[in-house]
Amino acid sequence: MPPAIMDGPDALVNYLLVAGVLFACGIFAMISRRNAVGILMGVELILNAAGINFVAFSRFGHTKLNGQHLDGQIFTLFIIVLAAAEAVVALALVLSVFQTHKTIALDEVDEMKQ
Amino acid sequence: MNDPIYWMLPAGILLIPLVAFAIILFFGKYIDRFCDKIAIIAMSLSFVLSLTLFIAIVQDRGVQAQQNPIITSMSWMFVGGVDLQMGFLVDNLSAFMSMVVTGLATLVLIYSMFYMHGDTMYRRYFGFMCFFCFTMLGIVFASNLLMTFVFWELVGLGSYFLIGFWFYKPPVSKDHHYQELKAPYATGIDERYLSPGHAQKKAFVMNRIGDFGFLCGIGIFITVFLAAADLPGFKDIALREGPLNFDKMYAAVNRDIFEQVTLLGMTGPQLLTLAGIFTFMGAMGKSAQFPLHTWLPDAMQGPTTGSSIIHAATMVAAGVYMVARIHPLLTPGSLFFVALIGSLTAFLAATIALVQWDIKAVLAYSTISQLGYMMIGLGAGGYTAGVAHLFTHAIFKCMLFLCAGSVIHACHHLQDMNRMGGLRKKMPITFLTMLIGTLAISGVPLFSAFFSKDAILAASLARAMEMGGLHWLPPILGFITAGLTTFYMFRLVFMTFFGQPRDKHIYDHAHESPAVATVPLLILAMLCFGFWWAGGLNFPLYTMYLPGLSMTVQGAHGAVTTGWLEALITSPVPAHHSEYHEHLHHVAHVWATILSTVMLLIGLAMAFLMYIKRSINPDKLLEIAPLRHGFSLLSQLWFFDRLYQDGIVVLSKKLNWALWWFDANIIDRWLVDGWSLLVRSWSIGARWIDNNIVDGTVDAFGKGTWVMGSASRMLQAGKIQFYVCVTFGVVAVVMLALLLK
Repeated sequence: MPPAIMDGPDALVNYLLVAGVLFACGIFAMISRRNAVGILMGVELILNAAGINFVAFSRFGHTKLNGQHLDGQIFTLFIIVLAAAEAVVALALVLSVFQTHKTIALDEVDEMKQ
Repeated sequence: MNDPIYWMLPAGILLIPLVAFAIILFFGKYIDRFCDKIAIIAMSLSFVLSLTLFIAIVQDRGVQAQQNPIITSMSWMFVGGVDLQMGFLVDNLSAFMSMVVTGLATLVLIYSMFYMHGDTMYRRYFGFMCFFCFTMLGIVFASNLLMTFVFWELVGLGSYFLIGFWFYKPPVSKDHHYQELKAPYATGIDERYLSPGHAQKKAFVMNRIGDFGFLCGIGIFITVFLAAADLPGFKDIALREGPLNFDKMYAAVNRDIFEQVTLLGMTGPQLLTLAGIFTFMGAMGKSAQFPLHTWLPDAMQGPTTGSSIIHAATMVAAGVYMVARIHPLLTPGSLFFVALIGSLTAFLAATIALVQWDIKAVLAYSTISQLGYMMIGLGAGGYTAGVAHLFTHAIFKCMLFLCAGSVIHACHHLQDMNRMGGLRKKMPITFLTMLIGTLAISGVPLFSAFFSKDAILAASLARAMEMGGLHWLPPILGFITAGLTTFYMFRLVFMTFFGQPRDKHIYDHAHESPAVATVPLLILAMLCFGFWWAGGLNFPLYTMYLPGLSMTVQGAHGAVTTGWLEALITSPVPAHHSEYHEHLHHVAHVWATILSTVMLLIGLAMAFLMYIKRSINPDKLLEIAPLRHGFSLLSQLWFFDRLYQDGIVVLSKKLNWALWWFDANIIDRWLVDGWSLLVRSWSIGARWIDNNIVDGTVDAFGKGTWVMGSASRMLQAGKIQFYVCVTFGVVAVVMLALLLK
């Protein structure tokens, strides 16, 4: 019997609310920051919001692995690993941008527009 | 299968002069001294081969060779299921003719070593002579009418080369040398035009007129024989393989069912008459028959030796030879046409020759007149007579021209007989040979033309007695011409060689020509005697090389008096003579002999009285009005040249001018220029469309792309936050839309 969606402390909507707030924070961070590292942090927040959603929804799914709903959690694990790798690449890019432009403010790095 | 010599020998005879021509043409510069020898050796080699061929064919076939000519031919081209062929025809006529051509050419070439000596174009002359003989031999050995035509045109080209040999000479009106040497009353020649260059063009154009008819004739012949080819009665002749081959044409015409051939509503014989008359037009051009005769006297502008070969064996003989070849194809109608034209030519030319002052001009008109005789002979059905006169005439006319050349050379290019005279003491050999030639051409008994001319007149007289009416015209004109011939030829001899020298200076410098000139003359003079031609005398060579011939002659004709020429060279399709006809012929022959001898004596007496005894003064005669008018008519050449020059040539020039005007003003101005105007305005319109509509479309595409590019460029702001906002906004809008749906 899967847990309820709307009622009780264990309801799905609570998890989704937390993930939604986290997602909104991530979007806000991405939009408001000029700093590339800040934007990267926003991206991490969005990824984590997605991870929470996966875990939450996996409890309501039908596919079971060893009697447990695990596919969403495995997805989340992949997302965490990917986020780490992405952070590495993004930070390397930021470093490279800083070396050439002496700044990491992204609105100042717009030569390609010309 | 025929003996291969019957194509190898003609090929050799034909090609040796051509090879000599090519050698002289391409290597003449390097072997300057030997050019004349090469030509003479080549021509004498050809002569030896011709002699071999003649002996071979006579021994092989004898009198049968004329009826069954040996033809070796191969396919030339297939056109419309018809196999047109090329090949060699050997019969007694062609073998003998090739002998005459090469023999005379050899003698003329030897003589030319003397006559052309020192000429700037000495080499070229010998080359041209070889080429000319090659073309004539091509006609002689042609196995079909088309091949005859091909070589016919080449003969025209050869004569063009020789007549205009001194092409750089100005018209005689500008030639001081000519003006000094000409007779004071020389008229009839249009001096504005007469020059070697003009003469060669005139000869060529006059011949083209005749050749047009020839080509039409060939066209009719080929059509008729192809129409016959499909009829069952002609299947065995295989007319589709070489419809113009002489043997096949003879065979087809000789069938009784030939009358069943119909085409365009005409029967076979009617078509043959038409074709014969058209084809004869070619001979009228080549053999200088009235009314296309005017080129021949002008052709005297060439070297005298060239004239000699043109007048004897090659050019003018080609026409007569061709008529002899197609003789079996000619119907009584076309034969009468031939005889009529021949007699008019003989008479007109002889009258003109009476008053000529130029020694070569007399001979030129006499050639035309004698060619007319040959045509009378052929037209009257006297095949052997006409052909025999061709041979005898070839020899004595060749000789007469060479004699005239000798006289002209001795008198420093003087051609006016009025300033010669008494030359017989200075130039005995030339005088002797010229006298023999004159006796021969006049038909004095026991000389060559006595037999041939008599045979011609007898044939035409017999024809007239049989047919009556207009058929009397050829013999009447023929007999008158016989008297005229004697008169003008003896006038020539008397004025040149007898009497007192009229020009002391010229007489003193005159001298006999060297042996290289006189030996050919003497050889030719020997051939002018009648015993060669009559065949009545049992000449040793004749019995040695032609054994058994006299028996055959007796078998075929029953009479010993029949000459070998009559026996060997007869019509390929002999007519079936009735006893009445034989009787008529006999009567005619007796009368012809008597009448022509009488005419001869009258002519001789007149010439003697006027130019030796001087009992009739020619100048006094001119004081009689009718004679004066006649004289001026004759010295104006019956106005033929004047008519052609001032009538036809001027008219056609006017026509040319009118056509030019039409071309320049109507065609050029309106059609061509108008068309260009049309095209130009059209292209102005097209240019506007191109610039504004076509290019505008292309530009619009470019411009549109540019506008869209610059618009979308604004989206590419380079602001990450902006992109994120847009992305998020779009996703949010899509989500909302999905939710609110």
